[in-house]
Amino acid sequence: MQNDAFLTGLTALLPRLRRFAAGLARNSADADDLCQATIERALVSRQQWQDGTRLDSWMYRIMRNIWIDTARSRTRHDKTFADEEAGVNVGSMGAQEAQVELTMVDRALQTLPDEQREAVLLVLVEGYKYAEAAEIIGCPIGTLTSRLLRGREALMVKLGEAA
Amino acid sequence: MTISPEQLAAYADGELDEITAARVRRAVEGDPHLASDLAQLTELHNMLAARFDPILAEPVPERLSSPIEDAAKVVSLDAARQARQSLWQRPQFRFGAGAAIAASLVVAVLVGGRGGVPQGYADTQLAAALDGTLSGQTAPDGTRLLISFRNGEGAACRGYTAQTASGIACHDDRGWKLKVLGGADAQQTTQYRQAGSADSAVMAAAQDMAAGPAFDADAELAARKDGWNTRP
Repeated sequence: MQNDAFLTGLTALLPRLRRFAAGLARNSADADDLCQATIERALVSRQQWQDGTRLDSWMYRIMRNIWIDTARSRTRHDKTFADEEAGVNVGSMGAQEAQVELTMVDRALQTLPDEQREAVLLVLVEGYKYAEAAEIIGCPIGTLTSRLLRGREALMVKLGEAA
Repeated sequence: MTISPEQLAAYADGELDEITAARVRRAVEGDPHLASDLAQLTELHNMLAARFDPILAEPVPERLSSPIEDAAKVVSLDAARQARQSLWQRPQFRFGAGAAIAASLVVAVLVGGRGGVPQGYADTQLAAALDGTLSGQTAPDGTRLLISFRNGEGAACRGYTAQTASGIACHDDRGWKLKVLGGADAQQTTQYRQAGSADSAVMAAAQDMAAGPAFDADAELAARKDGWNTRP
């Protein structure tokens, strides 16, 4: 039955949705909040999902839209606060170089404008084709590729500086 | 030929057709600068994978998986109606306006289940109606109780309709677990009402769930006195 396929598919997607959320949100608690909001919205609007279409793209689109909505409502003050938090985390990570490097990826990502960050995450982390990523975001492919290019260059500069 | 940054990135992302990809590959082989740029693209990809891919192996927190599990346990009246139709080919069995929103209500109620009440269980107000009101009567909050019966596991179950939703709840040690949820009782406000569409949907679903006959007045009083406990 369609209902079962939907719920089974949703469960199977949870690890990937958590990965995407981890890239979008600023910390792991925010990430799981975002994930939870996404699942709740998907369950409530499940009739809008058409059987036979890709559930993963549909779920990513929901998460992305919720994230954009909340990101827009955030103030500059939040941003400053987040940067301070990130700074503290680096100090507390201790000597393990690998962990410090992971945090640098997070911090570099956070310097990107939202539209570049989502493009980078969808293509480079989630492995979507340009056309698929553009469809999730709801923009033309050309827009996606130029955001991706700018985001990727900015990341390489940031991470190159830090190295 | 020159390779643009876009082309090199598209090559790294596997977005080029074979002919163009082969051309970029040859250009990279003959140009140390391009090769270095490509290595940087790969390096970034690896750093992102090292940061994010381990999340795939982490256990999924229960607060993310349990809403889906709960949704799987609740049968919507809409689905019950479809099953009945296909089984018995009864086109005359129709839902009213409530049916259209039945399935979305299933989850809306579930995810709203917070504030001390376990998810998927009746809230305090509905639980009070289910605990105290006999079938055929209306609770102070307007919930009308339609029927009581035991399901296949021996749990006491009750069908009800209220202004916001109708359904069937079965009692267990955590409270009244919502088993079937359906649409609102559209005729709730009419004092001399006829049996509404929500009523017939609940009764039909009850018929499917019940392991034996519905409680008569005595059996219902006894079950209420007994705290709606499960009987084998």
